[in-house]
Amino acid sequence: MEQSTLLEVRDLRVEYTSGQSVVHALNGVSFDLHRGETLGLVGETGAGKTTTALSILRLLPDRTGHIRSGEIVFDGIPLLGLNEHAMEAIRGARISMIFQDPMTALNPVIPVGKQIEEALFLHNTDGLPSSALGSRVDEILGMVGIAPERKKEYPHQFSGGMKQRVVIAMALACTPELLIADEPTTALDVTIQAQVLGMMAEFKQKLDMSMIMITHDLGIVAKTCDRVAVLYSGQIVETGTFEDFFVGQKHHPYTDGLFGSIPSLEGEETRLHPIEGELPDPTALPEGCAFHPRCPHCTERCRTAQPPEFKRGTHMVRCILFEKEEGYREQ
Amino acid sequence: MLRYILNRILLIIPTLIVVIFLIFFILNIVPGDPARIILGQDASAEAVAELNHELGMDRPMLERFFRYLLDAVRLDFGESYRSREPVFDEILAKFPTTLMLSLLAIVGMSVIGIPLGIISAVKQYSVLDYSLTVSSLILASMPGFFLALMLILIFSLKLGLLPSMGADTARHYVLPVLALSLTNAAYLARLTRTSMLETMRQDYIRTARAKGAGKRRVITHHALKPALIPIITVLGMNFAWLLGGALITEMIFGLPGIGNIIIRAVQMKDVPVIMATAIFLAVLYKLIMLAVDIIQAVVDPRLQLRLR
Repeated sequence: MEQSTLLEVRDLRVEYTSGQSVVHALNGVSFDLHRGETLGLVGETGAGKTTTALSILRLLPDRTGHIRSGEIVFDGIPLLGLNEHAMEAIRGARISMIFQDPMTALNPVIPVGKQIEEALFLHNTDGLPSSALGSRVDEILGMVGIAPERKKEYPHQFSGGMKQRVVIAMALACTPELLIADEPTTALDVTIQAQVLGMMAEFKQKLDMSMIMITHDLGIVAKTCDRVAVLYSGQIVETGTFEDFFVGQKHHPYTDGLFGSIPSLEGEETRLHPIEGELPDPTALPEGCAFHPRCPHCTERCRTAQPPEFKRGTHMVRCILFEKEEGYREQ
Repeated sequence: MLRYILNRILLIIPTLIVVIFLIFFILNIVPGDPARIILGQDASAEAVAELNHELGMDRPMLERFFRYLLDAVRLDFGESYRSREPVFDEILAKFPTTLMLSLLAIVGMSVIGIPLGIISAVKQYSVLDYSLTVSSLILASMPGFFLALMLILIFSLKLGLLPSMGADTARHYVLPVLALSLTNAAYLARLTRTSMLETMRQDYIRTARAKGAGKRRVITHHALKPALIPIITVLGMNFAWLLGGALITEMIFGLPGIGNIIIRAVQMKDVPVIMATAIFLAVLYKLIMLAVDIIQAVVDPRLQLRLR
């Protein structure tokens, strides 16, 4: 069965400029998101995960963030060509985003009910009366497990987990087709994490949404995602289905590194194997493969030439080690 | 909330006792003899001693202090050495002028400063922003009296549009209010700009944008209120300062306000007047700070916890 594509990102290049220095945040990111699918966008801090999300919503910081080239097509609409007004009609209505830190994502001087109602009010294309919007707010609050009576309260009267529920309620108010969740549970306790993730999975089913789950936690990926894309230094180094990642044995050396930094309950290993070194300086990217300074399999070619993509079925890896791997074809 | 306000008002009393004691103590060690001041240099030593006895000045300081406190409870702050009128009546008579001037100045600086600051922040790094920055720098570094004199020179002497002395009509207030608001408006514009830029960087602004709110709506509905919180404090402090501190402006424009009383009282070493104005201003200051706290709690619900 052919799945239909909801979101297509092609060769996205984003730079941040401040004064003289140019930060190369995204260096040709491409991926597809099918309808009804959850894509995990994995990578360490600074890899470009949030930049990718903000680019899709066109919310990069005004003066400093620039989309240099590339295409973002959402449901057939080229988003980068839209004017601001048309973009506002999409934000919050068809594409919503959940931010990392619920402590700061809510306006401290506006009651939570009003903040949720605003999303409805801004996209009230049916011209519903405000009483209808109010009862819809009650309904959504009930869905995320908050008593509707609390809608008059302010964010500081809620706990972290409850605040994230409010943020989720706000994002889901207009039943978007695409939900981008930017590390939605990083700022929460582990027990609350599970609740929030469970709730998001439930809504995804109920509302028939597609989701981009941004995280650095492979555990969350394993629990929620259908497909995975690994981002390193502004490039996608590996994509594949859940099986490609968690059943398949062959991975990009960086992905291997990510798995090596998870403690295992069964293994004999007594120590973790963190990835040595740091992300390359995004103002001065290394020549060749961006990962080569940290790669245990680094060859002479890696230092000079950008590795091509190798593909087998649904699995794509950007590493020359896959040249000799059976079934992988250079793209 | 009501309890909190009552508590705060009650707390004014101990503060006042300390204030009164300090002024009492300082004025006590300053040289000068009240009776001599009242009677003049030509009076005989006997007359001076008699008057001092009548005024109670021959009693120990602590006794005079407690007697003063008891009288103050009945709003009796003594008589002015100069006019022999009850001090409190004099202050009450002059206060409306100062209050009017201060209120108008606060309104003036807010009306000019806050919108300019907001525009400056929204259009950051534009020509408008730069020219506002430069002009507010010039205004803010200009001494108040200089600006006042320039205003008189231009609007009264050259153009003859506005009166420069007195407080008889509304037109008399225009120049002093301008003089007081312009310098403060410049400072307020800078502060508003900074506060607004800081607010615009917050995560919840991005959340609002992600909901689909346009830039203008984000400013009016999401950024303005939080950005105004520090500005309320500054306006309150400014108001308190104006009530007691617009001395020079009052003098230059010949406005019969509190500033006028203070300057004359200090010149004459009119101790009861100095004491009473200081106490009066201390009470006002405390009340204004209370009002600032209440207004802030209304704007920022997080602060309501503090008001329990």
